[in-house]
Amino acid sequence: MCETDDRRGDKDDWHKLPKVIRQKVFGYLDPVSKLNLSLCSRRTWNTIVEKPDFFHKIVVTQDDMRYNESYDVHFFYEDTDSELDDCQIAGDYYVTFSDLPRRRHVSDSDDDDHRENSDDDMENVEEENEERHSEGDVEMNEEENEDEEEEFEDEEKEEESDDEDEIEEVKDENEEKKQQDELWKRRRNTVLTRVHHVSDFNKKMIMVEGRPLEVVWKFIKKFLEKRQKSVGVIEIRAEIIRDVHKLKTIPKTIKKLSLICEFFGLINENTKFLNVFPQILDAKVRLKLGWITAEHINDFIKLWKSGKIADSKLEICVFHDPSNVSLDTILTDLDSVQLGAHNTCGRFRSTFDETRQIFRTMSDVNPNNHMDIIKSKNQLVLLINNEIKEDRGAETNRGSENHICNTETIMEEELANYKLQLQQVEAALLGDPENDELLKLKADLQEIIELQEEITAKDTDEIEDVVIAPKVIHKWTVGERVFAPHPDGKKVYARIDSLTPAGVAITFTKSGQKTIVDPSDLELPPENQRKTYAFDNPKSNAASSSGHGKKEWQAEKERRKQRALKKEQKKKELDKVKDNEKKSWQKFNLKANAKGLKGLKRVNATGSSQDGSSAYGVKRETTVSSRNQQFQFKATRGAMDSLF
Amino acid sequence: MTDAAQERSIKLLSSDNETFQVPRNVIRLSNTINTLLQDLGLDDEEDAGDAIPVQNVTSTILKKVIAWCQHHHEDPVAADDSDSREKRTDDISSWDVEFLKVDQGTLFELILAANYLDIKGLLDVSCKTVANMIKGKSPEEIRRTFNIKNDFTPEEEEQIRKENAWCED
Repeated sequence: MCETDDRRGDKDDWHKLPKVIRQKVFGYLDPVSKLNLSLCSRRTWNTIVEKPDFFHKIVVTQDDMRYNESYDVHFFYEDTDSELDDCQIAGDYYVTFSDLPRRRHVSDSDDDDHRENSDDDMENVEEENEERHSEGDVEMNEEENEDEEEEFEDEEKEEESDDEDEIEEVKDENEEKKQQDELWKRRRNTVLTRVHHVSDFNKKMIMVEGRPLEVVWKFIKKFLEKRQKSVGVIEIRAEIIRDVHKLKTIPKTIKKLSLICEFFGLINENTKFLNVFPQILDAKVRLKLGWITAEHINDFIKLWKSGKIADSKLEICVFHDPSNVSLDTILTDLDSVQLGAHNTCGRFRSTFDETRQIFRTMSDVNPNNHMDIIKSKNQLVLLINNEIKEDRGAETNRGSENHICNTETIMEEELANYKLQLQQVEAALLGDPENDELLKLKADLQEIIELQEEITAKDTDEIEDVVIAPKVIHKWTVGERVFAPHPDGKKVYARIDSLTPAGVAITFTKSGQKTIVDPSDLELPPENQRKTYAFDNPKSNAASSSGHGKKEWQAEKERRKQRALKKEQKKKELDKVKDNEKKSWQKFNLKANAKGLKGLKRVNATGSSQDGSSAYGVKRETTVSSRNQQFQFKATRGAMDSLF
Repeated sequence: MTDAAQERSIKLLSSDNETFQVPRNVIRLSNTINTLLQDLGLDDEEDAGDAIPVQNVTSTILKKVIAWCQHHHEDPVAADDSDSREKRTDDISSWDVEFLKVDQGTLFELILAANYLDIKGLLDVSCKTVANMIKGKSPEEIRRTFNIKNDFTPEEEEQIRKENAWCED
C-alpha cells in the first residue's frame, strides 16, 4: 500500500507504472508512437528508457565544390546510450574537424581553453592524420591530394573565412602567411571538415563531411569502435564512385551497406566498387543514372547479378527521359518491377510514354507480378523521376495496391485485367450458371470496367491537353530567378544553379531544396524581371523633364538605400530570434554538454544532403542567418549535387 | 509434482485480508507463487496450510487475476518470444480484450499485480493494451490519456513541432 501511495506522488499516470513495465510497453510501440510518447514531456523525453532507439546516421560528404570529388556517406547506427542521444530533439550540431581532437585532448580541461588551444589542436589533427597514414590501413595517394590542394586554393580561402570561429584572426601579416602555409600543409591531409549531428525523421543523423573518403571512413570506424556500436545501415553516396572500392576495411559490425551513386554512362569503369559488397550481408544500391541507355542498365544488372550480392536490393533511378531507350531490354530479366518514387517523397513519377512502355514490357514478363512490391529476389526498383503528374495519382489510386499509378497506361492495364477476369468468370458461369457468387462477381466486374473506361476516356483528354500545352520558349541562364514546380505541386520561386543536359538544376528559394527539372516546367516569375524604378511610374514620368531626371535618380537611390536598411534590420531581428531559440535549446541540451560534448555549436545543416532529410529541409524555411547562406553557397556544387 | 498435488487448492490472502482458494495448477501461471511453493516444498505437504499473503494486490484485482489465470491455465506454454512476436499488439485474444475492458486505474493495477505475481501472459497482454492506448495518438492525446503534464517551454515545443511536422501528415 505504502508503495502505491508513493507512486501516486506527483507522478502522472504513465509514471505510476514501474520502469520495467514502461520499458515493456515501449517495446511494443512503433517508432512514431515512441517518438510521440517521448515528446509528451521533458520527463518522458529525458528518461532514456522511454526514448526511441534512434538510428543514428552519419553522413559523410566531401567538402568540395568539384562534384566529381564529392562523397556523401550516410551512416546509420543504433545508439541508445551515447551522449548524442541525450542531446537533441531537434537542432543540428556542428563540430568542425578541429573540434574532434580537441574534444579528446582537452576533454578534462575548461571550456575556455578551447579557443586558445585551437592552434595546438590543429597540430594534433595533422599528427593524427599522419598517424593514420602510417597505420597504412588506407592507401592514400599523397600526390593526388597535393594536386587537389592546388586546385582548391581559392575555395580554401573562402572556407577559411567561413571558419572564422575556428581560426583565430592573425594580425601580423607575416604570421598570417605562415599560418596560411601551415594551414595548407594541414589541409593537404585534412580530412573531416565537419561533423554534423542532425536529427532526421525519427532517426538521428550524424553528418561527417570531409575528404578523402578513406579518411572519413576511418573516422567512422574509430567513432564506432569507441562507442562499440553495432551498425544498422551505412549509406554511401558518391556521385562518382571510383574510390568506393578503396573502402576495403569495412567494420564487421556493419550489416548493411547501401550505396547511392550516379553513373553517367560510365558503368563499366565504375564497377570496382562491387568488390566491396561481398563483405557485407545485406546491400542496397541505388543508382542514379544520368545519361543512360538500356544497355548501361543491363550491363550493370549483369554485373550485379554476377556478384555475390544478387540477393540485395537494387534500385535504379532514372533521372531524365532515356530517350531512344527501350526499357524492354531492361525489364525482361526481372521478376518484378516496382515503379517507385524519387527518394523518400513517395510519389510516382514518370512520363506517360515511359510508364506505358514499362507496363507493356512488364506484362510480357509476368502480368501478375507488375504490381507486386518487392518480394522476389531480383528486383529492380525503377525510379523514374522525370515529369511530375501527381495530381492524377489520387484518382487512379483506387486500386487496392499500395502503388500509386497515375497514368492512363496503368488504367488500360487494369482494364485489360478486369476484362480478362470477366471472361474467366463468364467461362466459369457456363459450367455453373446458378452460382450466386460468380454472378455477383460478374456484375461487379462489369461495373468496374464501365467506370474504368469512363475514367480512362477522361484521362486521355487531359493527357492530350498536357501534351499540346505550349511551352515557354525562353533561354534560361544560370542564376536566374524562376518559378518552378515544387515537389508538393505548387509553383514556387527558385534559382537556377546550372543547366545540364539532364535538365535545369534549381534551388528552391524558400526551402533550399535542390532538384532538377525539365526546362519546360520552368516559368518566368509572374512579376516583371526588371526592377521597378520610381521614375518609371507614369505619373511622375509624364511630368518629368530631362532636368528632373537627376533628382529622380537620387530619389531612387535614396529609396533603395532605405529599403536596404530596412532589410538589414529585419535580418538582424530574425537573427536575434534565431539566437534566442538556439539558447533555449542549448539549455535544454545542457546534459549533453555536461557529458563532455564541448565545442559543439549549433548551426544549420548544410545543403549537402538533400535526400532523406526533408525534416530539416522544412526547418530551413524559416531560417535566416548568415551561416545559412554560407552553406548555401557551399552547397552549390553543380547539377550532380542536385540529383540527390 | 503429482496430479494429486496439482488438484490441490492454494489459499491466497489479498492485501485487504480476503482469502481466495485457487487450484494449484491455475496459480502455477504465477511464477512468483509457483517458485515460492516449490522452494518452500509446500507442494509436498498434504495440508494446504496457511494462506499465502499477496501484499500489493487488493481483493478486487486478485479476483480478476485469478479469473484470468483460470481462463488461461490450460493454454499451451508459449514458446520463447521472438522479436517479431514481441512487437505485435494486435494479437490479443477476444476474451482478453473483453477482460481488459476496464478503467485505466484497474488496468494499471492489473499490470502491477501481474508484474508482482510474475504472470507473463497477463503482463504481456495488459502491456499490449497500454501500448494500443498510445499507438496512433499525438503527443497531446497521449498526455491527456496519461495525465502527463507538458513541461516543455513554448519555444521548445515550437521547435519540437517544427521538427516533427512530418508526424502530422
